[in-house]
Amino acid sequence: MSTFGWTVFWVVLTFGLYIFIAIRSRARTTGEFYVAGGGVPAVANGAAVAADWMSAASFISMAGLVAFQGYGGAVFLMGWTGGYVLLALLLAPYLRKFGKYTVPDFVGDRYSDGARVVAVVAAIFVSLTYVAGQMRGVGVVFSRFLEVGVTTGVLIGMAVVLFYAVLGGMKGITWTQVAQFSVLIVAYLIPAVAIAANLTGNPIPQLSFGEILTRLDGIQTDLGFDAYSDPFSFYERRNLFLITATLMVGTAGLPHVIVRFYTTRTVKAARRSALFALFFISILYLTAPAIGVFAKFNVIDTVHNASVSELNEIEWVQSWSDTGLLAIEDKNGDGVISYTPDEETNELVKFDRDILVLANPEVAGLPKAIVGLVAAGGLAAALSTASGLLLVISSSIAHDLIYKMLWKDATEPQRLLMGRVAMFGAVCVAGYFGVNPPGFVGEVVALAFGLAAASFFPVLVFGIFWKRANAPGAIAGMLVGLTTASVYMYMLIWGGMEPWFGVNKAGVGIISAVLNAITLVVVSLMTPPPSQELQDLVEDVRYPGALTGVGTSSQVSTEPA
Amino acid sequence: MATLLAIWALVSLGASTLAVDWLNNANIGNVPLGFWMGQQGSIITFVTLIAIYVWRMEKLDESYGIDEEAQLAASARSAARNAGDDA
Repeated sequence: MSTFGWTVFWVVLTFGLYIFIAIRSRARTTGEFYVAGGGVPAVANGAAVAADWMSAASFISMAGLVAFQGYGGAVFLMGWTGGYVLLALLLAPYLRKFGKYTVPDFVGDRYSDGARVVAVVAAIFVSLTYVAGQMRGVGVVFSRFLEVGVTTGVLIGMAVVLFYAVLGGMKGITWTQVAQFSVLIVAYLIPAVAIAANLTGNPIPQLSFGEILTRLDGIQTDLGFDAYSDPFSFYERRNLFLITATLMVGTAGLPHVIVRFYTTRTVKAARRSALFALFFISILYLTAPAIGVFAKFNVIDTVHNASVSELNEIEWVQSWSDTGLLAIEDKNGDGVISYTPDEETNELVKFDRDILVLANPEVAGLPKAIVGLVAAGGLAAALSTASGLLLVISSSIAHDLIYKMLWKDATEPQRLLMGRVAMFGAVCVAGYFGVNPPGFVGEVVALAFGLAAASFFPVLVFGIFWKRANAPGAIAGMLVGLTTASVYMYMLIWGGMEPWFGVNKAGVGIISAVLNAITLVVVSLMTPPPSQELQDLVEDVRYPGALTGVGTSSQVSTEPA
Repeated sequence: MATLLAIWALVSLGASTLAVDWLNNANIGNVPLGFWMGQQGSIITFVTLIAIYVWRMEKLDESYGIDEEAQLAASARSAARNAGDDA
């Protein structure tokens, strides 16, 4: 069977599975629609969080980023995992105990309705920027492997998401994500193991990449590049620090991740699912740096000093050149391609970092069945994240805005219907951005993390750990964080401003988060403390024992279980 | 918990960004230590930290006699008892 045939086989098989799960897990109540009825076991929830978290960016782009940034790629590896430590220790158990549907719910009930509105706007903005990137990922995979246009690809993806997200809400999404996690991790590991075994004879990529790293360092230095493992070739030290910190704090502030901890039955299960989630995520994140090293080595090995005519006959060179994401040009006419750091003489004109993982099995000459499986894995990663984000957008609009602010006496069936309608709308908007991607998706993802760090994280942490934090403080803090971060990013990207003190636009989020925290403390102290009722609520969330509204622990523990 | 957070900060921000070049003087296998910490070691540390936290918190719950499953069952029973009158 051809690559095309295998891809169709895997895609049809996995999509069929997702649809089957969707039919089996329809949502009947609002609780099921928004938080899967709060009854998901910790392991399943962990897998769902992992699939939710690992997007097209993790699956398709990250190994590529690491391969081309060398040590600099560590900011993504650490940033996107380290945030879970903050999440597990400072947020997840407490927010679960608080027991609501969304992040703006917590902000609104803990502070005020004004704060809720700011939180809704931030949640929608952060999630929309993300969804656009996922849909674009779906389009890229479809256009390369299934020989349909990007538009058709996005439409097929939309139809599938629409089906299980509208029907099943969080319940359908969660169980589909468990399946998607399995698909994507298998699709990621098989090629990595096969390539590791081929190159070094040791099938465990994490153990065998060191040998290739030494050779890659040598090759890169010979060609005039910085050594691959050189720590500051891509980012300076201060930016390594700031970007890592921003991504970690941003991770802990992303609404689509936080909301996942509302879906467990108990606080204990919320803690455990944070552990399972990071464990599942680490399987991919520990493999990605090895793939980065192998892939870069293989690409240089194949392309550098190869004759143009031979290269043009290789299937993957042809098909990726057709998509415009790969380009070689024999500039000096010697019939041989040279890969050099100098733009004038470099003849590997374009190698888009997003194709590295997708092209990797072909470059390494693995069987066609695996090439098709990787395509299905990429789709699973993109669709699972897209559906989680769509849920945040729909709940922000239908639950936080319409039900909590405008239409407070809506009945249960009306609320469920509102959720579905908002979901439908969100899928259509996401599809639009997938077909007409804003040219700045890459920039905006960095922006989304910075903004999540700058707006949510301080407000949530202070809301849990400091009784004295009040509504004016939270609103002022969020506004200061959001404006400083977005103005700085805007000025760097579109305003032509020089960076202050060399601070990278992706690293400003952590500085804004600190400003947010300072503002929150100062303004809270200058204004009256929150009501006794609210302070009691914070006390209740902080201490172990009874889930809110269930009764005190002493009463319960004396009862026979 | 403060200790766990201190280790988190030390490993992610300290070892892997501020001191990476210094750590690169050593090797683990044939990978420079700083590079290995940034791309492998830090992630392994994060998983371990959360595992310790989960384990400690469950011990703590146990020592205070907190059992959420029993609470949920109890509240379901009392809800059933009260159904119809004041619930």
